[in-house]
Amino acid sequence: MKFKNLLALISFFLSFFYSVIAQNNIEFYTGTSLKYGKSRSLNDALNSYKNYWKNNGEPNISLKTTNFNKEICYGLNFLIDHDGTEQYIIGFQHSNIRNEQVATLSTGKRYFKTIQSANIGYFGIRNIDAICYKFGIGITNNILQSSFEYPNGIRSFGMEKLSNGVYTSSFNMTLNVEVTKQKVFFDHLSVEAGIAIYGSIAGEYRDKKSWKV
Amino acid sequence: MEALLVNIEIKKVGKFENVGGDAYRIIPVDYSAAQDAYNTGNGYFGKTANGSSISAGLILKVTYLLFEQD
Repeated sequence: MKFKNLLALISFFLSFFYSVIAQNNIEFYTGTSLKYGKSRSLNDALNSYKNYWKNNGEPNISLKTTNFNKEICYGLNFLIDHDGTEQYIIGFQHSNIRNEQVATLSTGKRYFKTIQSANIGYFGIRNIDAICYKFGIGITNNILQSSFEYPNGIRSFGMEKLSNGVYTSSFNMTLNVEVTKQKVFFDHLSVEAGIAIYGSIAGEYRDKKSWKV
Repeated sequence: MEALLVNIEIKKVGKFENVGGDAYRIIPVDYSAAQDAYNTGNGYFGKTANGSSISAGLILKVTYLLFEQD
């Protein structure tokens, strides 16, 4: 892109955001969520990992799985007043969602940790009762960290074990729906609580990197 | 200032490198088939796990109004 075009693009975005800021309310928020969910193919892989080792020298292998995903998020809402009763919302959110599964073998522990970093664009509406409905669509960066912890506590991503590595998946998209109720505590500070549904379509986990010692 | 001092131990243990080309380095949905394929060297490791998921739960946010229209 030529420098002139880049300047024109930056000017356009600055003028756009200035017009949004000049006419509307802006909120910053940060939050957390606990979601129950499943990743079907990953669960199949973990169960087959357990079954494989159960039949190949690890009869006492145990797999501790959790379907609860922990999320931390932050974002900006641009609020556009409509008739003085409702507000339209256009926003951006960054979410970090984590989950960890552990298989215990006689030689140590295998950790499968998934990390989803999602950048989500939102639109929604907040009604006169301060109930907010938001729909988001975004892209995610999905990582699966597969590591092995030895009895002495050292956790390795090294190439000495075939399943070790940091795996990434490509072609990741997410859809997100939220319904929350807002309660204002001070002039500018409020708390929102509600329910959220999060779905993602992502490609296969393929190893990009491994820890070479 | 002394209270701010913390004991930081830095260990250099290696670096991440691309290991592309080693086809076994995937997360197979069927580990048994993948292991057989690896042992026999036929190069086919079956289906690979993907990152697709769906979840639902409770969310809590703290919101601060940065800018208010007059």
